[in-house]
Amino acid sequence: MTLFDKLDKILIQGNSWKTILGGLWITIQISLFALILGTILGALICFLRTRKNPVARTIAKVYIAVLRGTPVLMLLLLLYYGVFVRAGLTSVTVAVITFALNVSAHIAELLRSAFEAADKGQAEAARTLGFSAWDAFRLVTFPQVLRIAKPVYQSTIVNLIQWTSVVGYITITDLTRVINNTASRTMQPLLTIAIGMLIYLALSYIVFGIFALTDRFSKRGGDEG
Amino acid sequence: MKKTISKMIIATMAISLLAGCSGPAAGGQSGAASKAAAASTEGVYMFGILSYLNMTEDDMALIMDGRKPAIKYLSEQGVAKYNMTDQGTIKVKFYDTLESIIMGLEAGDIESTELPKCTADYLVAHNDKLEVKLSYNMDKADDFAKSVVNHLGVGFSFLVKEDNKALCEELDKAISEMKKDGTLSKLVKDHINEGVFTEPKPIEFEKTSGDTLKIAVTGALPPMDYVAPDGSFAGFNTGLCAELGKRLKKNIELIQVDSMGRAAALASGKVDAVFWTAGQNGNTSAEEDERFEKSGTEEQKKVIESLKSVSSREKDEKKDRPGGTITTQPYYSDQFNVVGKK
Repeated sequence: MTLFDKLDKILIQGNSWKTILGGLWITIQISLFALILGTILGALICFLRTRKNPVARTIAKVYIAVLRGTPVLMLLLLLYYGVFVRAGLTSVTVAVITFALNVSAHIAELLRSAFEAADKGQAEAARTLGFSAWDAFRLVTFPQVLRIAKPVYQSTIVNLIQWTSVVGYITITDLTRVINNTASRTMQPLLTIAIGMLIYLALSYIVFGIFALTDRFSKRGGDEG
Repeated sequence: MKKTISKMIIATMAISLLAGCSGPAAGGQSGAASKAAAASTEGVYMFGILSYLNMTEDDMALIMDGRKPAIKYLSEQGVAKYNMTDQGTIKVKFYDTLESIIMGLEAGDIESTELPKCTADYLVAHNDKLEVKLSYNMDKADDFAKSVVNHLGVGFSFLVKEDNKALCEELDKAISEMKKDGTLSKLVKDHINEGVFTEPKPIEFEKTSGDTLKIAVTGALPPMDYVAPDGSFAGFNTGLCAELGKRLKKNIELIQVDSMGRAAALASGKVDAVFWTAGQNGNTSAEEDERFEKSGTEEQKKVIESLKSVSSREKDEKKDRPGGTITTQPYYSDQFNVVGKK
């Protein structure tokens, strides 16, 4: 069997490329919604984590410790087969919740470290110049936080996409599951998995590309400004 | 500069991955590497087996050791077609999926694997690097040889929760009826005998006004249970489910769960039944065993003794059964064949 025959069997015959794209779309959906929800939650946890109130701080600390310190697959199984078993939620919804919870802990920490790295002197200077606390945050601190957090946030997104590859455990046919199904059907696991890896790699590069584009736009915006 | 280097690294990775997966030259190199790997553990024969829940790899190696006299006997009778090197000390490595077994075989991590005959046939029909190393010619088998092959075989059943005896009985009844009226034989012909070599046959599920029965499939054991290129479920088990739906007047919902997640899916009630390969081949019987033990030749008695020393009906039934579950009678029974690299 030549490489062409194998590729034909894996990608072309019976329109299997459509099924692979279907799996990819599920992976994108879960990653995207988990990212949006996780970023909102992460910002909230970061807000609590940086409060002076010890109760709020402890809650945030425990939240981050538990979610960052446990395997996301265990959390996925626990939520799907345990906590939400009677809730009537679809498996994709449970996956989005799980990955949002997990990624929110990482985002909370990356935001906190970005806040700590931002130049506090500049915010104080803005305040002495008559800026309100909100304006000093919005116009001085926040843009710095964004710039510092961006590279780590980008890696977190790529990690998130890869973590979602375990959703097959809760009955979801994502990209990994489709690749596994194809490997079982064609009995050519190595080549099929290599193709799967290339698709994940392409997805990661799209994320990097989007960030590179935003960099270019912000630079252009800066130049024009 | 950095960008160019990273592009080069990615391109090299992609090419080496693709080259490693195909092409006679690359295949030859990896073959040599695997032989070297196998040679490093001389005297040890590595078997890759799909994991059993309640057994260790050492337990399984003992069982395989205990089968040696039986296979030798079958070989002398011309029943076992044997194409394996001397196995020396058998060691077993458990794998969770068939695809990881294939990768283990291709990499030379294991020398052989034991699979149901139908899956072994499918595997060698779709992967030209592999061949069947041990199979049985049943035309040459007398009653005793048939019984031994059956003891070395496997039964395919449904696994349901212990407290769902009603469903178990319902499924058992439907399986008995399908055995009687020839429906199962037709499904075997369509999805196993012919299904190994043809494209997946489309299967239609009838909608009924009855309840929904949720059944877990893994999509990972062709031709019993796999997924067609269009993403629909295919294979013998799916055909069987469609037929069960008609007979039980229930809507069947097939839910794909990874093999290691099936017990959790059943325990949580996300599915009502899962396909399970455990227990002995359904064609064995305690009465027949007793008859051979009493009236068999000395050689046959030795074979029975050796098999009994490592396994029994009760042990076989428990070796892969999660707690709090029961199985139906087997709806399909098969031999175990051995597959290895050419």
